[in-house]
Amino acid sequence: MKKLLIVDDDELDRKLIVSALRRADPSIRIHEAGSGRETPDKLKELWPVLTLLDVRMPGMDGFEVLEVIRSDEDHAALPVLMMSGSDDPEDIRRARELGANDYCVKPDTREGYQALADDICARWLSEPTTH
Amino acid sequence: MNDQSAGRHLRGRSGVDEPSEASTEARYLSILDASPDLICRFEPDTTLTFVNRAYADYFDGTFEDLIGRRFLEFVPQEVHDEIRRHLASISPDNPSRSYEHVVCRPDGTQAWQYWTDIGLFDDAGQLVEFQSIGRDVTDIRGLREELENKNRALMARDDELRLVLDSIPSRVWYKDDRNRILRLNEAAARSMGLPREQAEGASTYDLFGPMARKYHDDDLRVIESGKAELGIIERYTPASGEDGWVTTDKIPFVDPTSGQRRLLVVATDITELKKQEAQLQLTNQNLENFASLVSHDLRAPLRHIMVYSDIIRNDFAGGLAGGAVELLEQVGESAKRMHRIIETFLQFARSSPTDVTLADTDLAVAIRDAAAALSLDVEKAGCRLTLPKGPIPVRGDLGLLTQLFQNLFENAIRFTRPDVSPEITVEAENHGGFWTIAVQDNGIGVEPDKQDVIFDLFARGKPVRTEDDGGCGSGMGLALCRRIAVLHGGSIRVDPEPAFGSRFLLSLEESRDAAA
Repeated sequence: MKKLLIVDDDELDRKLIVSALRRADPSIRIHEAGSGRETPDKLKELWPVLTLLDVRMPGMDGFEVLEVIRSDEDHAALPVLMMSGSDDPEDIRRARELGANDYCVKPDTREGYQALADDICARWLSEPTTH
Repeated sequence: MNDQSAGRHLRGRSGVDEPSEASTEARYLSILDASPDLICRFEPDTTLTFVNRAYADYFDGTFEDLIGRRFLEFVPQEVHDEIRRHLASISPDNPSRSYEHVVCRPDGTQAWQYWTDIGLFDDAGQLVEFQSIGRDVTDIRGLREELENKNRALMARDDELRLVLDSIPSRVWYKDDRNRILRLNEAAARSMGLPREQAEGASTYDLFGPMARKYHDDDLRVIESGKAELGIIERYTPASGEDGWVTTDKIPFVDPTSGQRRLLVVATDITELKKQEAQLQLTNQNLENFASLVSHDLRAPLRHIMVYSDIIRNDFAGGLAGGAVELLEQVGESAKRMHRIIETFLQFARSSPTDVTLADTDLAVAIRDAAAALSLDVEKAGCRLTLPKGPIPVRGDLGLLTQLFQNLFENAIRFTRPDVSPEITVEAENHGGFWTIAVQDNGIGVEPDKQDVIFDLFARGKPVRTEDDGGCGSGMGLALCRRIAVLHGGSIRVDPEPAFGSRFLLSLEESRDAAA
């Protein structure tokens, strides 16, 4: 069973990507975290094959979470896809620097979300993973 | 005794007693007469009892003429008392004194003489006579006066120079190549926390604390290169007093008198400016953070409005009452418009000088990229675009320049005349190392009184098209164009007399590599 963790403080954003992913592949087990702080525990508990990580979050933001993931030897190789409402070049550069596998801007249409979900399934969840 | 010495005796008017003494006296007289100095003897009332030849010649008289006369006769009346006081001051305890006084020459001119008078006293200590040796010092006095005048003039110039230096608010000093401060102004002395007298002549190692070695190395480099270095911004750390920031000009020169190398240093305190700059940077950073935060917080709910109205419209259309779908479309369009305004606002907030990366750039690529980014809008509006082939080499930031043309194209598409398909023509010309890029459209044009204000922040044109965003822009598009142009050292303006529509003229300097 492919497990995926979505970390985003915005519940509506989580709902949008979750429903698009469910349409793309109903077999995926999707788990949610509403803050950066709960992410390390969730990773230990779930061992997901992919994490979708929001950039701007109160408390511990996406960059800080990513740093924690990359410095944790159990999850250092976990694919992390960062998502943001902003295409700020500085954010994109920093995400790459910290070892994000990809960075995408949250879509503003239903089709956009679906296309993103389809792409995530095709690129990250279609092959069996050893993680 | 020869004729000329007839009647003269070394012992004065009392004469000599023995022939052998007379012979000795004659030898002495010949020695005294050979002396270029004036030699005489006189009684306490100044009656001359002996004069040598130089004395006689000086007053153009014979020995007989002079001996027996009071020398005060050769002295102006007004000086007599002074001479008497001088002679009266000579005593057995203080038998020899020198002084200068004026005399009248036979030709009527006045001259100065320097005399050393020696009092001769008898056994009872009574003054018997004076013997004196003197010389004309008129020329020497003239030279001395001239020298003193020159010295006074020099001192006046020196005072003037010091006054000028002290009136300069910057710290000014000059030093030699052995690192000694030769002269400095009041501001410099104050900054070093020392009285000027102590600082002058001191080594900069004693004055500049831990940075002294660096300053010395830098100064030597400038002295040796012989080339001035201006506007050096550096920290200033005096041995005493407060640290700060200065902008320094270092100008080497050669002392015309000694031929030695010197360095003039002019340092202006910019500590306050630096503090303000740091404050400004902080404020800018805060503003940028604020803009980023606000736009992020605004964008998230806006995106939700767009996506959820899209979902309702597409997935739940069957359950909606008539007209609801159209209304939802309006909601979605309004949200998109606000989204665009926020995007432009963000771009404006981010376009600060520190974020600009200038590189050799082909402006034609920026123009093509801008057109490509708007391809959907161009197609939707039925717009005809004519673009230059290039290359148009400039120093610039490709992303920002693309944004500039995108804004101009959006404007051209937005402000069209009713029922006329937009046409945009971009042309580039190079004049004297500057590119002028003309963006011509066939739209409603810019009213003459708006040609300057349209580049102001939040200036908006009249609504024309209503299809997509209510017709008017964010009020930031052209302001952003101007900021981008200025960040590139260029300018943008509206052609005041276009043949039709509106014509924007962007001026940018040609890339130096291309010019070479």
